[in-house]
Amino acid sequence: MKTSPNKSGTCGGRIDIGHKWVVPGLSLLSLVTLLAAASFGAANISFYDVINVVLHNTFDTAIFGMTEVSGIAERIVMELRFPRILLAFIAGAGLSVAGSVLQTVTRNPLADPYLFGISSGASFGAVMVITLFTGSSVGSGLSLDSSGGSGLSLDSSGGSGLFELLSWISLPLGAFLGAGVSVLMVLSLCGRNMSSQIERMLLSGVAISFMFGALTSLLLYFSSPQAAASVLFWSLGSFAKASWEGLLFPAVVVCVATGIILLFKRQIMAMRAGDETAHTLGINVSRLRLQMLLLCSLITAILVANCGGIGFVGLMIPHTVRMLFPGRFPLITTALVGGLFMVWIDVLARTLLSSQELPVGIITAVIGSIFFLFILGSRR
Amino acid sequence: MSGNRKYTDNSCALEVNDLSWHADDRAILSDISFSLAKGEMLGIIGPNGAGKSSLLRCLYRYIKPDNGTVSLFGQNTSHFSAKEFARQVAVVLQDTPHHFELTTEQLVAIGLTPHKGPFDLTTSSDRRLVADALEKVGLTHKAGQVYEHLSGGEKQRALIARAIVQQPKLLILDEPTNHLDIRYQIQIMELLREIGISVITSIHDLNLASAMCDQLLLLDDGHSVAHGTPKSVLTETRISEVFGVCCTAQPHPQHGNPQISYFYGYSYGASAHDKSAHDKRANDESAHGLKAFGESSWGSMKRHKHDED
Repeated sequence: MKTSPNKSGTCGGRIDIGHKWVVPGLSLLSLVTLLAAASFGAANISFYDVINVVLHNTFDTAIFGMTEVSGIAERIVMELRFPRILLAFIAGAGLSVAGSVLQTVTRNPLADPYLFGISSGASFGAVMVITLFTGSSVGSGLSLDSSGGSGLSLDSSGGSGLFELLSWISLPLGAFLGAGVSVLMVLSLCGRNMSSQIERMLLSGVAISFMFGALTSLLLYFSSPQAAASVLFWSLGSFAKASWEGLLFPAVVVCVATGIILLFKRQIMAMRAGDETAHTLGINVSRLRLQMLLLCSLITAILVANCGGIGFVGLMIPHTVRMLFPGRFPLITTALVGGLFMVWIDVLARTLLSSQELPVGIITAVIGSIFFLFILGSRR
Repeated sequence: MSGNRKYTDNSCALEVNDLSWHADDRAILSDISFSLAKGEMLGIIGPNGAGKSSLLRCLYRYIKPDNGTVSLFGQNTSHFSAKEFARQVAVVLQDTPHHFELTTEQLVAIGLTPHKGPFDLTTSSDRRLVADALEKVGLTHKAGQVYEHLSGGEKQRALIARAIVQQPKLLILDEPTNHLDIRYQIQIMELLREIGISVITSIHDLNLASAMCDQLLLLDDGHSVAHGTPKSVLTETRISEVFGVCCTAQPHPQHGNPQISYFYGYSYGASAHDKSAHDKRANDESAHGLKAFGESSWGSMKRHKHDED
């Protein structure tokens, strides 16, 4: 007790360092990142080219009088890289927000959106779709993407037929339904009894994860190698299939859900003081926790459906942000940091190997598992 | 109500009628009735497992009693919404969970929760409220520190500041002096008196309860054994009956309420609630070298019995 004032004094000092500038600063950084990240990839497009493309598209002129950017480069930037970067940003932000909220309302520092069976449910849904359409263009289109997907396979987004659209949407739809079913099962199992709710939530999440994992394995065992390959690629996570149309749903869901969570900010904050204390502050604890689980599941399900399983982001980012800004509930900061992190991870995934791209899920899992061990170690 | 020292107003802050609650076919609380005048401090005393925490939980609606009513300023508490109730009654509990990564100021500001709608921002008057509460408990200099790094007494004061920010009319505390050294125990209890609202607190230390509370409620095995001023509740007989220890109760030189001195040297075989413990003590006293004490205590205990009968 004698030494604690000193120790906490340094913590107290760290909080105050310009936290007013964190959100504006990160927003600016995000804007720069959007442009900078677009200049990485297989095709050689410089930062200035990107700026030129943006100016050309917004003002219809090249203001700095630079040389015209080639049409193909413009298409790569506008139709492939920007949607991809935005999807990565939305996914990172959404997963981080979901992780942050779940860690707070379950008071489990290791809670992660995927812990509640969402990703295994989504995988099962996706595998169902792929095996049902075996041999059709869904499976083949995906596996083509996975082999050539360095952001240059223009043909994959060019299809316009009804069947193309159906096959394009059926995978995310199946994943979303699978995620939804698993979440409903967790919700129905975790009950409304405040004292045992957290425990039941986590345990039922784990149980349902295993159940869907087993079902997925069973389906994969009987499916074609081609389908198995595309499932593997999808389940490792990728932003390669990003398109402007495909951005709409994730963007709306992540923004609306984050907005709702922000409205419950005080209640979520009060949950940190424990269930019983939160109850005495006028909060319906079990209902709030179920609502938050539902919202976070919605975010995760829509993201898993669009980008596959990208683990550990929801675990890592909230912890990092909390370590940097202890004692706050910095939801916006968490979202921005998560988005930035994911964009640059995706850049890494695109550029690390010259011949092909790595699934982002592998990179986040490597970084995340090391981070996981680091948290465990630092918590004595 | 007798012994209302601070207020002439006689209206009740809290009225409890025939409260009963059972868990797993075991009666935890049986037919408890009492009332508390505005601005008074009620201490709930009793041995471990007497039902103190359960009674408090019924009062702050964490558990629903099987029977009986709890009225707050004349209104039945079961008619309040969760938020309305939280604006009237603040609760300070013993334990806070781990990984409680909040600064003291953030923790205190949590007390604003029941007063805020989803779109309400923290205003400058809210910040003043938080700052005033921190000043009242003497933690202004610790506002920016992480709550977990505070000392035990400071933590308890921070929790009380959070309750002050909640602006309640009734404050309920579950053993606020637990694990604190004697200076902090007195400090916390005097702080509670200073706030000037009605307070209900469970408390283990009978001398502290005697010195600080206007009213005491003595529970034993879920029953209300005695209710009234410390002088009327803390008699030597009752303490020996309920707690199973021998003691003398003398008027405290400063405040005049009973000051309890315990006797030591119980053999392990004696049942805690056995009346024959007294006889045993009387016989064993010389063996334990407590003769000088013992005789006066035995005498005074007998006198007391006469007084009460």
